[in-house]
Amino acid sequence: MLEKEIERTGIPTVLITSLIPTAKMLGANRIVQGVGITNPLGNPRVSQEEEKALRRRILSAALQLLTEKIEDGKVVTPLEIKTHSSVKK
Amino acid sequence: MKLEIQNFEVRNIQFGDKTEYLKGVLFINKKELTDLISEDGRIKEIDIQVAHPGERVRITNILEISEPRIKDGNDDGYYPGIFGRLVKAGQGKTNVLKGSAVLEIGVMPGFYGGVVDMAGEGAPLTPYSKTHNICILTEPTPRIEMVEYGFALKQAGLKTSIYLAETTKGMTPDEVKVFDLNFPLERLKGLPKIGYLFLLHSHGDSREPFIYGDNSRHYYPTLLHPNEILDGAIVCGHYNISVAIKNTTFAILNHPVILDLYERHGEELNFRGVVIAPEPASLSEIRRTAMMSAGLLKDFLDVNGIIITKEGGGHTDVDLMEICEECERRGIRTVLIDNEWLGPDGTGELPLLASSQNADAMISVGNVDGMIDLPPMDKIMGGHTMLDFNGDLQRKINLPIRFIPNAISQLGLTYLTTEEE
Amino acid sequence: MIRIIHYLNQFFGQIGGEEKAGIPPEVIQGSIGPGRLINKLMEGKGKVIATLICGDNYFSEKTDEALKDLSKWIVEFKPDLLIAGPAFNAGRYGIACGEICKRVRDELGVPSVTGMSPENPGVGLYKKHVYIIETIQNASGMDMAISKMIRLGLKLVRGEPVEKPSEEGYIPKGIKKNVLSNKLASQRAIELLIKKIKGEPFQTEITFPEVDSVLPALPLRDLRKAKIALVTEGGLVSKGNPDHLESARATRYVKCLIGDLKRLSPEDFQSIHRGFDTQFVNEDPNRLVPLDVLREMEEEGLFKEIFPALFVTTGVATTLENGRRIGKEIAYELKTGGVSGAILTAT
Repeated sequence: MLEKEIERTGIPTVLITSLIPTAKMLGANRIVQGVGITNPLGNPRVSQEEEKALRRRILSAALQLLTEKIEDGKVVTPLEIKTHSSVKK
Repeated sequence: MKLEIQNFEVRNIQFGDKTEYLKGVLFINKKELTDLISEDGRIKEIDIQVAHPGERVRITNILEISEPRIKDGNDDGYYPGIFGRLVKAGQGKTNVLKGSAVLEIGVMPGFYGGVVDMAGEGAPLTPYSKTHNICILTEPTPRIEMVEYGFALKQAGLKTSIYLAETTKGMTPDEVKVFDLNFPLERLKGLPKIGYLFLLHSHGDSREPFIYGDNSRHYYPTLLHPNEILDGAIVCGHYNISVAIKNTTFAILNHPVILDLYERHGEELNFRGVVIAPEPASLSEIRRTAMMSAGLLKDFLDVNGIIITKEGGGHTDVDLMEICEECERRGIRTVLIDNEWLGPDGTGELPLLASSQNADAMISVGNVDGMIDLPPMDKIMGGHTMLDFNGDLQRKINLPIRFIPNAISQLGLTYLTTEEE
Repeated sequence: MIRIIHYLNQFFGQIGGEEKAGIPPEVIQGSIGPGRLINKLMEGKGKVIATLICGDNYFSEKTDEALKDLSKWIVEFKPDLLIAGPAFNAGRYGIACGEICKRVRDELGVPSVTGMSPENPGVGLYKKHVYIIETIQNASGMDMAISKMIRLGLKLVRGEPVEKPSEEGYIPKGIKKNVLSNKLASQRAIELLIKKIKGEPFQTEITFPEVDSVLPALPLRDLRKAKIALVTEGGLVSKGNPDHLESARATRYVKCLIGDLKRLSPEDFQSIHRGFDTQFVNEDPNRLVPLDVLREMEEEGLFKEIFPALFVTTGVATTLENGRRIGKEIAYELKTGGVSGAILTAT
């Protein structure tokens, strides 16, 4: 919702969220898929290093999207999100 | 699977020396019941009070509502997996003290309590103004965690409901209702095949129901016989969520979609069965659930159409829409039941937090943000204040409708809906 | 005898065309132009006792002065009903009609009705507040418009119940109220499903509006020179929520100063959002607002700097109107702060 108002002023904005359908319904232009509702940029089931690596992949995709010319709306899913890790904490 | 629900009508409830059910009146030995609940060290103070339909009483801080029930003819108890023996629900005989309800009441940060008026303008909005309500007023022991206290209340409520229903064992009921899907094939031939998809909130401790006594968050969509749902297999475990967006145990036991489909089975439709599914916390899991639910409905229950209900807040509109799309894609016609989010003045432009071209047949159970003016009451049961409401509840109040249990009812046990002004 | 005041612009008031749009308000005894039609259709039940005329430009540019004079006259005449227009598709006229109907009803307690075509900008602004009879685009629909306006006006004056928009002919106010149906939702659902399966016509109870879209902003030309701001709808605030941000239905945002912080620590931050289980985010707030990794990327020179404040609101059930307003306010701060690009996180 907020991203459209920010974009209206000419500042490219990227939305990171796991609920892509809602973001699309509300008309967001630059969307990066987050991990989950309770942890958009994290995964409590993996180690801290893995979490940070995951966070970096999402942020890299987000920064990348800010430098891209967009026509309509674009959704990026930067990684195969593993929500169930075989490595138990 | 044949279930016989034996209804024992409750016309009044009184405290007495012996807990018994006599000619429509339920007598309760208050001390015996209080002692029973006090066995649980997690509850500090307990009081039992009764509210009757028509009294100018406002009951507050209501967390959960169940119905006094017990299996008749054996020692299976009730609520299998919690208080009952882990036996498949939905068969045999079940005694119900019909016209009564057990209300769990308590205050704790993180709990979202409800309000029921037994008379006045607020009464028609909830089915619990028409039941004789046994209210368990509790106080937590100091420093207890919210989730733990939720468990304690659950035990208190269910224990009470079984203890009371035990008074009917072996007696002759006022009415017997039989639930059996096995009709001769000729009777079902040519009738539209209809299923029901029951989405259950599964976002963690104190925000999910129990299925046969287990936490319900990591399971795949599965088939349950409708009788199981009508007979205690699913129990509400939500305390950390508003009453408007969770299903109380009472509502599940009296599930209106299942009851209505049963009424019409063999007449207007062929009730093929029920699928239950979780509402996971990420989009990929939501999509997996949608795919598997649609698979069970199409490939195993072979339905033409389904009713879908969801449980929970705005996030779960996404679950509803993803599943709707997947089902329609597989040729299953869908009808969705949902509440709307239109703001306190009803002018909100977006009714839901997700949408779909395929969601062309929806039933609205009302604007959850709506407000209602309620008159002052003569008596308060459960406390004059609530953590998320400003002011004294006994006075005339302007209350958000989401505080009233089953005014908004995501499984459809309500007459509330919206209308254009 | 119902006393009616009629509001008209310079054209329908028979003063002149566009060249007279700047005339100040004036009052005339009795009826003019379409006002005569009102009298005729009233059939003796009511009469236009006075007509107020104002130029569309004057009303638009000097609204408060215009309303001052117009209200004064209305108070003097003590009418039972105000009828404005109909304005058909004339924009400034439609807005003037909507505004005067609203003021007169709110401030003087006089019931009011107007009429416009659906595309008239006055509709978007006033349909919530006043009854706008739906008309066609031009004055050939005058008879139909006036007769519906009168019918509704009489009901308002007499305190009779107003029927649904489709029956009375007014543009739906866009307000939905909670009512009790005579059938349980479950019953309505099953009946609806049977119709749908049989291929019979059916009606849904919830419809989705068109959501406006925004042209994507031009991309950053050089990321290395960019100032990036972090915004979140996840309700992440300083521990203790000192600014008291709402945990649902937020009507505002708060600013958390993050200065040079390397990461968000669970001792200093928490989420007060009540629409999701916040335990994971409270264990590690960087799971919602990724300051730790973003700061590393800043130090690596991937972009120039992180804006020193974090903008926070709570997205749970916030209405679109509030969402827009909050968004505009945050956008203003970002723009004046020289922000090049924004990352917004949500649950």
